[in-house]
Amino acid sequence: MIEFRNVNKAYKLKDSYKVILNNISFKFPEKKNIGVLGVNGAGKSTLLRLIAGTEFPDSGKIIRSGHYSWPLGFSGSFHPSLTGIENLRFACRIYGADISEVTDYVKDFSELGKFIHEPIKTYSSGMRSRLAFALSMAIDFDVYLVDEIMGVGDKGFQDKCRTAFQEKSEKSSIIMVSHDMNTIRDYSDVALLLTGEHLEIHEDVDKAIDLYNSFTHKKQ
Amino acid sequence: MELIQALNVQGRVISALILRETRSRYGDSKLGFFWALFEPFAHIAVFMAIFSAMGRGVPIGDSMAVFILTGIIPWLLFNNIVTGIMGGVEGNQSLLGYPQVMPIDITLSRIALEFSTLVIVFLFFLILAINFGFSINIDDSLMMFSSVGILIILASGIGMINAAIKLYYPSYGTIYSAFSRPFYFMSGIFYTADFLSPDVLNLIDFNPILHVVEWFRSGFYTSFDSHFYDVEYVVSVSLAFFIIGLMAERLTRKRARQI
Repeated sequence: MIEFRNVNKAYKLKDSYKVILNNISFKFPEKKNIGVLGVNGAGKSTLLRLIAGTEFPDSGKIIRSGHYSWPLGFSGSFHPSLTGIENLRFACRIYGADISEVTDYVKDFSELGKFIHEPIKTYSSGMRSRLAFALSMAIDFDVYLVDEIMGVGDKGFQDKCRTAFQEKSEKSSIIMVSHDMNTIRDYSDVALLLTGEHLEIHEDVDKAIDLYNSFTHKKQ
Repeated sequence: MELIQALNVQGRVISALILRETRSRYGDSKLGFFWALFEPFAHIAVFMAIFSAMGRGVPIGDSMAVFILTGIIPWLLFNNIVTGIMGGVEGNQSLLGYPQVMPIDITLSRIALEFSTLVIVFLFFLILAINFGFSINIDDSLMMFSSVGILIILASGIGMINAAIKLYYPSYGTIYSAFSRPFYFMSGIFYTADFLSPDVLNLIDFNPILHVVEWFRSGFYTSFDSHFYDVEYVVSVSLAFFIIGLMAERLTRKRARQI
């Protein structure tokens, strides 16, 4: 369960403020996969970080119950000078997961091979997301917060991700940000439209995508 | 119940951070631990060279090296904790991407690492001194621990204040290191307080590290009991810095995550 109560969030720019959320009270639909849509800079990643609790609102309250993943994104929470395995162990320790079980799963799932013993800073962004994805799948979460990293890798890896999620779909749901509308369509039950300051929930994902496209018409 | 759970999570985070810090400092190369031993050794060697050239006798005990060791260890503990905390968030920025990792956890893990490193280094040199034939009789180990405990509180407070300022003024690190350098000479590393003339002592007796070093040596040496150090003064100064440090940490917590 996640609920925003009178949440305000803005970033300070040089001499103005970029408002991300303006006094938002919002209850996220439960046990549904949510695709977050919004133009660049609307604050999609910030929204995920607020949900995860890695960033705090300027004012207001965020009420959260259940087990949420860290925001799985390219910049990620991996320490660049530690190896894949060392980062994995760190995550296991702070989440209280079994290190050897997780290691086996991640080695198999991530297809990183020997690279798992190399520092993260030598990884490509695709490798980072494969590790982040595999690691989060190995630790059980109620809600997975996915920032753009879905739809990386080759077709085989994408299928693997999909299957992994389907296996978890009874217990877990996903809140995801993606620029790829096919990924959003694939995974989401509902769409959340972030239109600069407001949040709108749309039961019809296709309709939300159309609406989103009309905002970004110029680009497409 | 919720509190126990929260403490449990924080315990896990801190122990994971201690392992991570230990590993990246001492894991891959022997250089890390070599440096931990070399740093105090270098200070001791320099002072011994100067003093033997000057023909100065040992102020307390039978070994000049041990005398300087009992001054340099508290100094390094103070200095390493302060700089460790100041660089802590920078060195672990990405790990703040996990919601349960807080800047204060990084601070606590660095304090634990610096403390245990220097305990090992101190014991190493004491054993070395015994092997060289010097007698080491510790007078009052509780007194040594108390002085070190207060020093850790002082250093943590100053470290947290510095870390908070550095979030807003990144160049503050250089200013602090310039500011702190004179304290090296004002902290009794290579002299005792009664060695100084009253005028000089009056100028530097505000320095809490000088009090701690005198206190620490009073616990270490059977033949030395300093009348200079003022426990009440050091404890109140240290607690004041510590409380301000905690407040500074609290106020800048949001910002630490956004950089």
